[in-house]
Amino acid sequence: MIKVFYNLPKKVIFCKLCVMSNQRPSSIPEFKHTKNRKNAKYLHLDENNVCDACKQAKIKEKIDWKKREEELIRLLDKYRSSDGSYDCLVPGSGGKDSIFQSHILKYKYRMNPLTCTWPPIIYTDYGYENFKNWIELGGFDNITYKQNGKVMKLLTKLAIKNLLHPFQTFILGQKNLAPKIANKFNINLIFYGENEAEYGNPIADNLKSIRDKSFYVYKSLDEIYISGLKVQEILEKYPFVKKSDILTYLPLQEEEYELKDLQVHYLGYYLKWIPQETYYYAAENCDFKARPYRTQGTYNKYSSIDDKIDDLHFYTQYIKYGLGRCSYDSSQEVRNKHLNRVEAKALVKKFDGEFPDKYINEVLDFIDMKKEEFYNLCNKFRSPHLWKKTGKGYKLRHTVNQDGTDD
Amino acid sequence: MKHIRLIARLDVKGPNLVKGVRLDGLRALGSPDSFAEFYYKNNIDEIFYQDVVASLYDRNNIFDIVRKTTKKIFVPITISGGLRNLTDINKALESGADKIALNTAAIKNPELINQAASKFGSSTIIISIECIKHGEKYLAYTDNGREFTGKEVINWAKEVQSRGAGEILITSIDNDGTGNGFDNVLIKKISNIISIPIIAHGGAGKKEHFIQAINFGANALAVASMFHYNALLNKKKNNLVLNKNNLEGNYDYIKKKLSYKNFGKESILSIKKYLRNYKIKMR
Amino acid sequence: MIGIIKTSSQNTGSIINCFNYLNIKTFIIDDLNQVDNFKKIIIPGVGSFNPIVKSIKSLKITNELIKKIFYEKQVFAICIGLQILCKKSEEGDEKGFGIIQREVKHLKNLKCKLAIPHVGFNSVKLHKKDEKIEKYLDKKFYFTHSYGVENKKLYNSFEGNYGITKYGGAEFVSFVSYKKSMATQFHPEKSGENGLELLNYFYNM
Repeated sequence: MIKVFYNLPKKVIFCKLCVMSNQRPSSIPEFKHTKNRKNAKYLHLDENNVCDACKQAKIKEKIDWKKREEELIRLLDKYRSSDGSYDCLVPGSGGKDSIFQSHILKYKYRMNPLTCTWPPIIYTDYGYENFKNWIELGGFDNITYKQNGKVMKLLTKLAIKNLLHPFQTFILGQKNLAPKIANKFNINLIFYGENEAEYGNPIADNLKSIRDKSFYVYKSLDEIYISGLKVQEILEKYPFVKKSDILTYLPLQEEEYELKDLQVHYLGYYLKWIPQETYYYAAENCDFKARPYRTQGTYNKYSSIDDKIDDLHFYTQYIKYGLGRCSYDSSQEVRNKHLNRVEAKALVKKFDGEFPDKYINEVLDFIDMKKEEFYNLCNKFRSPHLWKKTGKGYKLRHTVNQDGTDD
Repeated sequence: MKHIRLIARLDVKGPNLVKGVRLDGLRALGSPDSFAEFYYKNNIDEIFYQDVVASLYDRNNIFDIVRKTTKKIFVPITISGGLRNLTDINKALESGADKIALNTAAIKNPELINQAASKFGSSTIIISIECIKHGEKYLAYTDNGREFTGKEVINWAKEVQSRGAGEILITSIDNDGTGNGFDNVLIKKISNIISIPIIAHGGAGKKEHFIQAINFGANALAVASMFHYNALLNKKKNNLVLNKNNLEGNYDYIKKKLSYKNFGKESILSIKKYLRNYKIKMR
Repeated sequence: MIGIIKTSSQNTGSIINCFNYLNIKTFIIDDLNQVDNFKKIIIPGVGSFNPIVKSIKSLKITNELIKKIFYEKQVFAICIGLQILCKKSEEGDEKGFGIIQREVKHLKNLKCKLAIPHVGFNSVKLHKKDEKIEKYLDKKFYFTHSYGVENKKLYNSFEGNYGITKYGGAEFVSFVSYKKSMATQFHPEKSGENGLELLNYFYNM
């Protein structure tokens, strides 16, 4: 009996159309993320082995985008300010997506957005350049919330130890900053980019353009887990951390949310979202610069390049779920019809799971962890039903190219 | 009196002409040979085909495109992308190309330059160098701007010339697809130490950029975005319309009829007219 | 029908494409016996001096035979095809076929100060007036070479016409004609419409 971690489906099945497998985790409220992922859901494949994301892509083709844009304009007309105050909030860090969202809202749709940034854990040089160009060339007011570094280091380290999830503090902080800033500046409209349903979260979500409330509010502190630990545990074990330090990573409490008429929308519901085209838009309008070398683990240079920990994040996903960054990128391009499945498979074979050695030393130094400890951790988090220990190290049992040890 | 060539650079992925920014992004613009034909009819000096994904997928189907092109286009044609050894070069030349360009294969095995020059003649071999600026230095990249080699461009260019290359193609990755102008500092650095012809590539946006690059030492100018987007302004007239039902690749730009900003409205003929005022001699 | 002598070069493809476009049939000659069957012949040439000379000599074509072919038939020799008709070349130690009593020298030794090889479109200036061919040569053609035929006074026995090209301070013979044969340093098959017209004129002479 081979053990299966994280409540994952025992049998590994790949989507017939893209290169994702049923091991892909669906987004859950990050502040409810525990080690065993008790209530976690994974990418659903139907009886023909077509995944929800591909199904969603097909639906996307039939959408009347003109109608959707009209809906957007109606929405914006309601909120557009006439006195120069901010009428919407666009969270982001100067990546191609936030550039596209903020720029198009301001210059095409004549809104007055405030942008807000939860800065990357460790900025890359070119990432920071892009951020500056976003603000200076694009022309936006920006609130950057620089977090308590001591606490962030601790939580990041704990997240790696307990969940092998280096990116959790960033995800928590970034998602939860926007409603708080909106609150403080009296802005009632927040715009995110793509709806996560595009990537295989339950379809039901998608028909509404407003983000699921459960991501944004919580009832009581008892239901909160950070870095895999209950809040109480963190406060007890690490006395230098105060409750106020934790609040930074939490969403609004339900009561606060009810008091405001806060609307959170996906721009991707109203405008057809084509990631490659957002890259061109950002390059043309804000001189967005791609990374000066191929991102390790995948083939492109322009997606998610501003945080040195980002590469590691995708690598840990590969360890836990057998799906690397290339699998994600190429599946998305297959759905957008920019690549065909044969090409995607070839790319996955070439790049998936490539170890991101460019920044690893710096990252481990930052959180004060030795390489040995990190590698051991990785191995502890490999689910046996996905990984086989061979003479040459760990190998995947199943791959989309059918060259796993058990294929 | 300066002798200059204008070269149309066509990046190819599978059946499509594509164009990125800083060598990333594979936005499709149409069929390569219909663009090549349009440029030939409009007085282009040479055509340069770059297979941008050959090193990713280990496949070379650009030869079919070239075979088709050479039946009705009678100016020099260069093939580049994914040529790994003398056999690949031979295949490329047999498909109808007059010249080939090497990048990745040459950096991995510089001896290949000597062998190719000796077997096929120096004037058949162009060495392509893709550059990104790091502080004061320029460093060379391979695999269509993806892989970092750490090799310094100036030294590599010197070596390439001494090994028998016929021409050098210098691409500024930083400027590619931006329309901000060629990297004239880079061109000058190369022309200071190189005596074989230099083809500058990356950044053409206005006709003024051309004369600047020539004054900094370029013997030929390879242009992509500026030519392609201008050609698309009159799709029907220029015979560049596609069968919309049979498209593979990122055709969202074409479908949406999006516009572009950073390139001046110029044709090859208008650019040549402008350059002739400066006593530049071309086809 | 035009016969194309197959040497070790690769550009028979281009020249064949040109003639196909002009609706003229072509045939590859790789056997000496076939040369006599053709009135019109192309000697294409990309590559270097020695290998080409060697490979033609290997077809048992001698100096006298080359002269005979050039004077009595209608031959069009291209690029290196022009150079091998000369006495010798700085590029190699083989002797040329000597129809043109001049030497082929590296462009540097011909006082060229610009980038070498000479790559690009350039013009040809005819030495003697010739109303028939003038209009076809008063155009730009595509050159790609590092060596050129020196433009010094011809010593003997060549009564035809010739044309000069200038590049970066160097002057070299870029065109030679005698009766119905001609030889060019430039590549008509790569010179767009101008080249096609010249080839067509040659065929219909």
